[in-house]
Amino acid sequence: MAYLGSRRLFVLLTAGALASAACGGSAAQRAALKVQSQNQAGTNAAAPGGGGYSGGDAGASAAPAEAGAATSDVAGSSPGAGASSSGSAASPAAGSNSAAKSSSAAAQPATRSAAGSSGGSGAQSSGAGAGKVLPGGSSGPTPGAPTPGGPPGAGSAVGGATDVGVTANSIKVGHIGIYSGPVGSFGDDLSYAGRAKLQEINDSGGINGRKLDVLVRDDAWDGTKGMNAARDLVEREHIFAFCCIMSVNTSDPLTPYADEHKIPHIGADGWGEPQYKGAWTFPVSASAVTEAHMLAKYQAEKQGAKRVAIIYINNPTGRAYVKAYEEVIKKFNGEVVFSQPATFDDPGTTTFIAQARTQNIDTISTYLDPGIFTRLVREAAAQNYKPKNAFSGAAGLYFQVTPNFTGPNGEGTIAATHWVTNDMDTPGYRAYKAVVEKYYPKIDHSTWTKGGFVGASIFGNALKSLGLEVTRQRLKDTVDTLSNFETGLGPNISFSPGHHRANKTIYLAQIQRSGDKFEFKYIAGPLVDEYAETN
Amino acid sequence: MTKLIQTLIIGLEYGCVYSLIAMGMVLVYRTTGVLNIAHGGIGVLAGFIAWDLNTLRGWPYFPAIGAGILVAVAAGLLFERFIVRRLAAPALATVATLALFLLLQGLVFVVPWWGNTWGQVFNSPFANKQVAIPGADYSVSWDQLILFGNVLLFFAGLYFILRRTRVGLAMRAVSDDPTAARLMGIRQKLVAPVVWGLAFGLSGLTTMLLAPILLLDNTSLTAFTLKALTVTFVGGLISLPLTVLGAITLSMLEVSTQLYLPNVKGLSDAWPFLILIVVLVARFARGTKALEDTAVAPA
Amino acid sequence: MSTVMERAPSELSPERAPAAPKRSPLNRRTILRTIGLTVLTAFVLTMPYDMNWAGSAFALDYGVIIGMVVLSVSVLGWIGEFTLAVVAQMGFGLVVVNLLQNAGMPFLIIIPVVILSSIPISILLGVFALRLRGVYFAIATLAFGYMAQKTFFQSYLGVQGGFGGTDSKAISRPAGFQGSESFYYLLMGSLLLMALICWAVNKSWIGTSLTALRESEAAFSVLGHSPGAYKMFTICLSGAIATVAGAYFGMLQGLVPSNYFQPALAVLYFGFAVAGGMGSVGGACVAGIAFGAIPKYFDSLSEGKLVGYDQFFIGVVALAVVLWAPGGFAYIGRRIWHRLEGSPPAAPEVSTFEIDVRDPLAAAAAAGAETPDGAEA
Repeated sequence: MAYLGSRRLFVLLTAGALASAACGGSAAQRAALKVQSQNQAGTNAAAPGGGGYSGGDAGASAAPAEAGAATSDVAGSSPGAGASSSGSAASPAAGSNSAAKSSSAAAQPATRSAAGSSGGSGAQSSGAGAGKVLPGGSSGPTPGAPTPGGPPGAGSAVGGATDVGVTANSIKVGHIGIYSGPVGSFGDDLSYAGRAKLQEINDSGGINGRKLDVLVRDDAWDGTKGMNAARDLVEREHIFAFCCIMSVNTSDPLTPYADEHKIPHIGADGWGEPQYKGAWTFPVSASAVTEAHMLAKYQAEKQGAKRVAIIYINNPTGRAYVKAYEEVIKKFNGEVVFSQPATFDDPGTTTFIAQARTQNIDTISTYLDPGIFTRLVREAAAQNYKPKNAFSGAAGLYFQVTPNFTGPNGEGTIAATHWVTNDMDTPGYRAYKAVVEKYYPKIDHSTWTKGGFVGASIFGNALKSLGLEVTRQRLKDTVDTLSNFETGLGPNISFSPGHHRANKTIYLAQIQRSGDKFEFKYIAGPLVDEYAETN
Repeated sequence: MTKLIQTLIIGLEYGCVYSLIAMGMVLVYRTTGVLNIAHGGIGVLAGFIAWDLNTLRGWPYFPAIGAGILVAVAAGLLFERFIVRRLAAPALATVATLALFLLLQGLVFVVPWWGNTWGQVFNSPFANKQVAIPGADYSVSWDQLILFGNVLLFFAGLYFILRRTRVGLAMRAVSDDPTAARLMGIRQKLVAPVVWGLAFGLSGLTTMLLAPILLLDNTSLTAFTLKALTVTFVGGLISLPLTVLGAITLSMLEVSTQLYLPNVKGLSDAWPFLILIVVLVARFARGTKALEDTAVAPA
Repeated sequence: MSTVMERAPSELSPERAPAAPKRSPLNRRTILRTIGLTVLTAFVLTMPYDMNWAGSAFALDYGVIIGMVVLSVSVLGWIGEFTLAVVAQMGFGLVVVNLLQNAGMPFLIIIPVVILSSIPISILLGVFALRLRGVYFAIATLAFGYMAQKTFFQSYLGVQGGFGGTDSKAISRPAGFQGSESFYYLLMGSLLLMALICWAVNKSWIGTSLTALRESEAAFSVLGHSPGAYKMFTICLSGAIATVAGAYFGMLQGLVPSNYFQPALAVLYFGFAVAGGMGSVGGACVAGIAFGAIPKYFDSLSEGKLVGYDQFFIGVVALAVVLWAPGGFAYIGRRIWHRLEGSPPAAPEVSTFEIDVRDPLAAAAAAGAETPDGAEA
């Protein structure tokens, strides 16, 4: 008996040893991958200043001159998202925080441009403590610029490791994106825009001498994988905060976790309603509920939609979408005749279309990804059917891949988006594009690339306004009083404690023919959701 | 009227898909005793290779799908030669097919230029061509007609092979009584490759027929495979005609429930289980003893 | 543990260790066991911290839960069946926990209720097991699991990355076990308890009867035993383990999408059980932990770059195990152990390796386990 017992236990032991040996072998691999990821970032970046990861020694030494040049370039072309916005971010901070902080906040615009030319050398300063970084930051500025952060002596007192994930010269930031899985082919773009902004912040000198060390993870649009990554980032990598996670399946479950551990998540995607319940989560894009409200109102008023059928990915966000659409369409004497859930392995689009035809539906609204939506549209074409008002859908459709996939069958489809549409040539959008495409030239600009960019911008500005004393609580307090942050991409963003529903604006775009191609074109907006909740 | 025609056509469409998959699984099971879980996975591989050749490398459509199906057949032969033959017990080979399934489904995400994606558009040359049905506001697409035609062809062909050819005779002999078959000079080693190649090729063909109608993706064939597996139960994993009957019954029930009883939530998804219970009760009432695997160990 | 060890050779059960080594010196074996046990205990106790360099203890928590699920699949190997309903059973466990927590029940009451709640479903499956064997039983459990996911879980939990529970109320962990590390000890304790119970059952007269039942059901019933009762018992044991695993999974994740409970996942867990050695308690635990935790550790080690590859890797490993070690981890472990002890290699044990569900093939399965042996010799 004992013999067997120990034998079995030994099996356990052996496997354990094997497992750790296997993982041990990958320690080198880990290092290799890290370097590789930095190199990748470097090659993705148009300027070799891509060594924005603080650990990237190789990149950093080559960076300074060109990074500085690139940065001043961007700063010049983006007044909306750049200097002026940090100025507005600074004002609430000045109101709620101490005078010392507000002085450093007010100094930000100057520091920013100064850091552009000196930040590289500041970051390179070998193993710099706070005392060394500060002179680095203050020796370079143009004459007349106020010296940030006070005297060097004070720097060592307030700088350094002020909170988890913060050192004298780096701040660890967690970011989770969708790089694989069912929507991985276009999901990766969602996080590239936010990452581009964070990298641009680094290339322009970082945050008051500290570089952002961005740790990127993949959730494959699967909340279980996303939470594994999030816990790993918090519990093992000891990150300071999360920034601009544009995956609803991770942002939703992350919200209670962030509250529990008091970790700020600046710039969540905001698609799911649970995110608005978090005290430490700050969504920037609009909710699917707002999309449904505005789509229903528009379709009822402009298209005379009366009999609607809805197909949705059956998560709480999808169900909320159906409910919200129904609420508003009823106000216009319309009705949701039937709705049907869909999954990736079994979308059920065939019978949905068949039923829509027999029920004499005039509008089909969807809460789907481009893949299932394409299947729906193809199915309708195969059955030689198209409802009077064609299709409409949540922001999940607002990707260029959607018209590419659907072709002529999708013509007339209306999609919601939370920011200016890609064909609206506003200065803010041009500035956004300049930054993002500098690092990721082939990006498919969608609702969430813009959301990620805005989230990262708010994050960077709020951090800068904190001066050297960077703590989670102070970051939260600062963002909690953010007022009228100019995004340059449509709605301005304001938060107040307990009220994190910052974006209630919807733009609508329609798939239209343009030559032999099909593209989303602006048709309406900004529409501000008057039915939205006030939290 | 339109609703009835819709129900019949959609029911037939999915019935054909279930049939194609279930026939492939029954074919392998009754001759080798292996439950081929990889059936869906092979189709994914073949489909993505054909899509790769056609869309990324500019091959014409038919050579591309031909190549995809050939790859599937070759995979079947290799799998039989290097894996199934090395494993003494069919149950082990069943597990090997499970491993192969995981590997193949994961492969789609591993090959970098396949775009790390759930689905791809893979149109046939008959895309957007329909035949209107007289008297009803409805039409059938060419792709659907081709699917129906292929199922009929394949069913007839398989029936012919099993009944009228030497290979078919050998296959039936092996499945009925392997020991006797061996004594009669029939060699499992000759029958098995034919079966595996045929089954994997069939899976590839299923994808090619399905992709133009739906999308080319790495999950829906798996979902169909699981449902087809429950259908094979109707034929006791042995009878091909009963399997096809089960497949069409299941899909007709599913579709008519969805179209005629849309408010009875969940009923259409409960059908595989309900059919299973009906079959079980029927067998029980007929006094058949507990349903047990009768398949045999290969030599 | 150590007392168990000291009572060593006298209690060798004959059918479990037919090639009990007699030649090797006892003291060497004792030393080896002492060292092995000490290292193992130390490793199990410190595992979350040992593996901290590779990833959060969350990965390990997940692995231990998968260990429970695989154990539940493996236990059915005792009656020569395999089930594809474990994932559905997990789902019911999760739902029960959610309901009980919403009703304000404490953890110590929740777990027994979860175990009790597993019985009706186990009995339903057991009824099928009385009429169906092998692949047919597996298909029946598959159809059941499919129905459960599509009808019940989808309406209760929401699908496809959706998170819900009732009104998005997350399942919480018991007090004192909120952290990934502390939760690990709760999970590992539970898994060890389950393993101990399974091991004890297998050692008792029940295990002996089950072996006899598997050898010949006809002879078994002729001797006056009821095969049905034994099958039902095993299915209930397996179901209870799976349901508790589901409850813990809920506590681990907080919010769980219903797409997690798809029957295809049960096929995967069956593969893990085979890789561990169908019917082996230790093998199942190791396989579950390894296949559950290692991909998660790779995810964090690779900084998320390998997330999309886990299915592919698991496929490769499973194929390798089937080809080169069809007896699974249990068999590999046993071989290594015997080599260390200096005793002759263990003869493959039919009872452990019988993954085949067909009676006439038990011998063939054993032959399958022997194949690589022969190849190496």
